[in-house]
Order: sequence, then C-alpha cells, then structure tokens
Amino acid sequence: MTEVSFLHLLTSNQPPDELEIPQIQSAILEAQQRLHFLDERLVELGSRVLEGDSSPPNGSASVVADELDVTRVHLSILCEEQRAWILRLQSPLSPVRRLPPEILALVFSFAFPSGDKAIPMDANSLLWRASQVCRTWREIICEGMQYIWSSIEIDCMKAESYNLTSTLLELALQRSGTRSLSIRFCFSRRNPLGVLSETEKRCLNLLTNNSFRWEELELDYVPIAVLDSLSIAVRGRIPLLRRLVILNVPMSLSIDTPSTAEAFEFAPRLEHFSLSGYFRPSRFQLPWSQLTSYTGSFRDIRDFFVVLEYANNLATCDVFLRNFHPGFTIEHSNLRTLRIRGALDGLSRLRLPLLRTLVLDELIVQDLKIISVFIRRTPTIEALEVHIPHESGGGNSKDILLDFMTACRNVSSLVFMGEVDVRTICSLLDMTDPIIASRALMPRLTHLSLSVLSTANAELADVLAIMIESRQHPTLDHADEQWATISSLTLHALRVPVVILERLKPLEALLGLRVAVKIASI
Amino acid sequence: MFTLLSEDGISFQAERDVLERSVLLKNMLEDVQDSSNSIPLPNVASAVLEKVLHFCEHHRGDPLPVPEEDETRMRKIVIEDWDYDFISANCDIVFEIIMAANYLDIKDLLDLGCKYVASLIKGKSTEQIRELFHIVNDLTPEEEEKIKKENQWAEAV
Repeated sequence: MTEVSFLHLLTSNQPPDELEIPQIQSAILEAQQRLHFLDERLVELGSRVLEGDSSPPNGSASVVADELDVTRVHLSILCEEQRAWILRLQSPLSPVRRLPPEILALVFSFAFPSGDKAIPMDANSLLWRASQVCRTWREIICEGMQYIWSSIEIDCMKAESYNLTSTLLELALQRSGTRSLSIRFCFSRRNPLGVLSETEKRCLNLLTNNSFRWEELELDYVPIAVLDSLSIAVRGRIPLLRRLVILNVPMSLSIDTPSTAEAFEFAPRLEHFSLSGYFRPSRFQLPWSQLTSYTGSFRDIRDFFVVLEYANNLATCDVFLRNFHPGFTIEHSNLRTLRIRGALDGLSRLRLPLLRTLVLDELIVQDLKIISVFIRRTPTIEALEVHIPHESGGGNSKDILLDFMTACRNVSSLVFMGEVDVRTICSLLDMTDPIIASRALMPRLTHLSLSVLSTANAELADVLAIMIESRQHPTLDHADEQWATISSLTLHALRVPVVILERLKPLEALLGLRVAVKIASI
Repeated sequence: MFTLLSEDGISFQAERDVLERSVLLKNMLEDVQDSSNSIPLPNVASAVLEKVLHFCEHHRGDPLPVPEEDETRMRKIVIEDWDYDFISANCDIVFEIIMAANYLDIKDLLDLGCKYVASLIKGKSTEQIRELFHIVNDLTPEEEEKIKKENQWAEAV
C-alpha cells in the first residue's frame, strides 16, 4: 500500500497541494486495484459455492460450504471497507475545497433568501442546515454574511410545525452584527384577547431590545393591546425605522381602547406606512407629513381621505377601496403615483393635479368607463398600468376600449396585462385604418407593454408589426405636433413568444424600436 | 482571431468580441494589437476552457452584466433554458467552470455556475450536502455541542 502523507486531508476540508495530489491519485488507484482483486475473489467463491451445491451432500462438503460462506462474508466486508476508503480518498480531490470563500458566499447568496425575503426562525430551513455542514461553511454563513441574518421572519402561525425557538432568533440577532434589521413578525392569532404565548413574548422582547436597529418592521395580526405595549416599549428608540407595515389587525374585543400607537410618532426616518385590518389610520400617531408612501386597505373611503389629508407629502399611494360613499371631493397636490383596486367609484372623489402614474389592479373591462372619466379629469397622467385578470367579455368591450384609449391622450407609457385581446388593442392603435387614423389615438404613446400567449401565432405577430410600423409614419394630414412613435414594446408571457420575436426583431434597427420579453413567474 | 493557450498547452482560437465577455481578457486585449502571439491561461485546463469559450460564443453580443453593489439585493435562481442545458451538461466540471469564470472575470458565467450549485443544495439535509460535495465534517466537539443546542433548544409556542 502507498505510504500516505496526506492523512490530515481526510479529517479536514483543506485542498491538497501539488505534491499531495499525485499521492492521493496513486492511493485511489491502488485501492481500486485491491477492490477489483477482492471482487474477483468474491466471484470465484460464488462459483465454488454453486459447484458445492451441485455435489452430493455429505458431512465434509457441508463443512466446506460453511467455510466458504464465512470467507464470502468476510470478503464482502473487506469490499465495503475498500469502497468506503476510496470515497474517503476521493474527498480531498473534491473541487469544492478549492472554492475561495467569496465564491462560496456567492453560491449561498443564491441559495438563501435575502432582500425582500426574510430568513425563517426554523432550524430545518436551508440556512440553518447549511451553516452546520463544516467549519468553513459555518464561518462564511455565520460570520461573513451578516446581511442574510438581518432579515428576520418569525411566523408564529407556521411555528407549530417547526417549533419556534427564541434561541434561533437570539443567534440571528447576534450574527446580524450591527446591521439594521428588517423584521416580519406574524402573530399566532390563537387567543382572541390577544394574550401571547411565552415564546411570542420572548421573541418580541428580544426584538424590542434591538429596536434601535429596526429599519423595516412588519407586524401581521398584531393584537391592539400588544401594539399598545410595544408602542410604549420602543417610544423614542426607533431612530432608523423607515418602513412600518401593520397588516390584518384583528378585531379587538376591547375595540374602544383609545390606542394611538404613539411610539411611531417619534420615528425621524419613517417614510412608508402600510395598514390593513380593524384599526383606523387616524388612530396612529405618525409623523404623517414625513411620509412619502402609503399602502392600505380601506373599509371606509373616509379613512383614505383622512390619510390624504394628513400625509400631505405622499408621492406614492397603493390602496384597496372596499366601498364607496358619495360625498365631497378631496385634492392632494403632491401625489405622483397611485395604485388602486376595489371600489373604483372612489376615483370620482379624487382630484390629483400632479398624478403621473396610475396603476389599476383587478379590473374588469367595464371599469375602464370610470377610469376614462378620471383620466380625462387628470391630464397629467403619463404612465398607465391596467391589469384585467379575467376575461370579462361583454359585446361592447371594443367601444369601451376605444373610449378609454381616446381619453389616454397624454399617456406615453401603457401597460395592458391580463385578459384583453391584443388584436383589439392593436386595431385601435393601428394608423393604417383611416378612420382610426383620423382619431389619432394615444398620440404620445412611446412605451407599450402587452400580455401575449406563448402560443401566439404568425397572424398576431403581423398585427403587432403592422400596428407599430403604421405609427412610425402616421399619414395624418393634421399630424399632432407632439406625435411620438413607439420606441419600446415589452411582451409579457409565460414562455418566449418565438414567432412574434422572429417577426419583430428585424424591425428593431429599422424603426428604432426595442422589443423585450418578460417571462412571468407562475 | 486571437489564440488562447490552456494550462495543458492546447490552443484555442476565438474572436475579439467573444473573448471580451471576460473582463480579464478584455483588459489584456486592449494592450495587444498583434494577434499573432497566443495568450497563456495557466489556471484553466483545456477541457474547461473549451466550455468557457462555448458559453462566451453563445452569449456574444449580449449586454454585459452590470456589477452589483448591493449584496442584499434579492437574488433569484432563474436560469435561461440554454444556460441550464449548458451547465447541467457540464455538471461534473461545474466547480472548475466557476473557478475559471472567477479567474477570467466572466460575471454571467460565474453567476450561472453559482446558481446551479445553489440549486443543488436546496432541499438537502446537512448530511446530504456533505455527501454530495465530499465535505468532511471538521467541526470541533465544542462547535458540535453548540449546534446541538441550536437544534435542541426548540420549544413549542
């Protein structure tokens, strides 16, 4: 057997040096030869046993057969040991040993959630499992990737399946170093009075002790009583808090508690607030005029108006209006971006003189009538996103679309997602039709995004190409001075719509057009 | 055409725009006007260099990836069909490809290799990861004890 001087490599994950590599290779070869020899002996023994079986039974033959069996078992064990030895010898040559720590860190950055996604406090999750593989991995993950540990998710609803532990949270807080924290805490909702379990309390305490590092805080299903006590505990101790999200506040049995969640008033960096559930925004003491972004679901449109009134510097608002009450209108003179779904009648009560971007979710085609009125009243809108998730049919959908696109006179960017017939949109935008051309729909349109099926055929590709070409060279006699040509087309699909790309790509250079495909994730 | 010389002395020819997928080679080519001299790559074996050039050839003309400054950015394992076929067909040398991409500074290839390895780790237990990559458990008894506590101090809500 080759004399081995690389035994230290079998108990560590160090890569072998130039001299050790041939030694290991030679040892592997030798071990393989030995294994081959042992395998041959085993086969040979097997044949002898078979021959013995065919001999007439007598006492001495039986003894020989037993001995052969013992030898065969012994040889089998030797073969297994030899195979295990070869595997051990191969491990120092594993290329993973030669990966520098920064490359391993890059691998981990793809393997573990980060950024928007937080790490779960679950010892069975990949991050925890990978941190226990070996010393190098542990050092990289636990000491070299603080940012991974600074996004923390505590989901007490799921906790029952994995046994939530405050120890893991303690470790995560420790491993995140001094980085600012992004926290999502989902309460268990077990107790209607909002009484927390011991582990929930411990986790909350640990987090509260680190409130000076909170940058983003999301509380789901937080009982109002807990919100109150938390508010007292962190008052004046949230200097970094930039984003506060409070979702699904459960209905409280003590709903009349005059809670104001006043701690958040002293959050000098707070710029975003989200709220949904049984808690009115007016009950929050917030630095309202500091907010630039708000997301909320409103059971009563008057609450939305309160937000618009308080948060007079909002630039972006994402709202779900659950109902509509007719009444006075409200003007917000700073709002630039509005994303809205739900009771769109509420739009009739809004005056947004600086609105640039309007995003409309979960529409049916008929909703476009209300939106057309709003767009005519808000000529500053330049970018429009329309999501129509389900085919809503209706014989007059082309008329509704015509009216809608006529209203979009100043819109330069249009995103049409979902179940709207691309052919209908193209036919309305197609300037080769003299009747349409005379209407000059959407004269400032430069960016168009559409949903297409991956099975889209050559006919649809032609419809798109002809429409785009027609708008490059309008034949209008009274051409709008600000007529713009389409310079960018984005196709949203589940797979690359090859037929359309083959038709449109050659037009890119010719028409100064950029065609892009965005693959939707399912 | 330029000639690259692999670690084991094999020559490969490629055009400038293919080689410029590599930041290292791009910088080298800026100083080289004469393409008659071959460029030695002492850290890349021919079997790996062939694959690297195949990748660069396929992606010639694609916009070069922009370096990321924000490490906390959400990274997703999204691999295009061709790239997936390429890397999975060469899975036995994926670490060599990663190291070559790192040395040659080809960001999209480096990311591709790392994403592929990351996808291999997903869904595996600690022991399965060790087996997959022939990693020895070299944790000290003290470290093992700490880990045991991490796993055992779990408590029901």
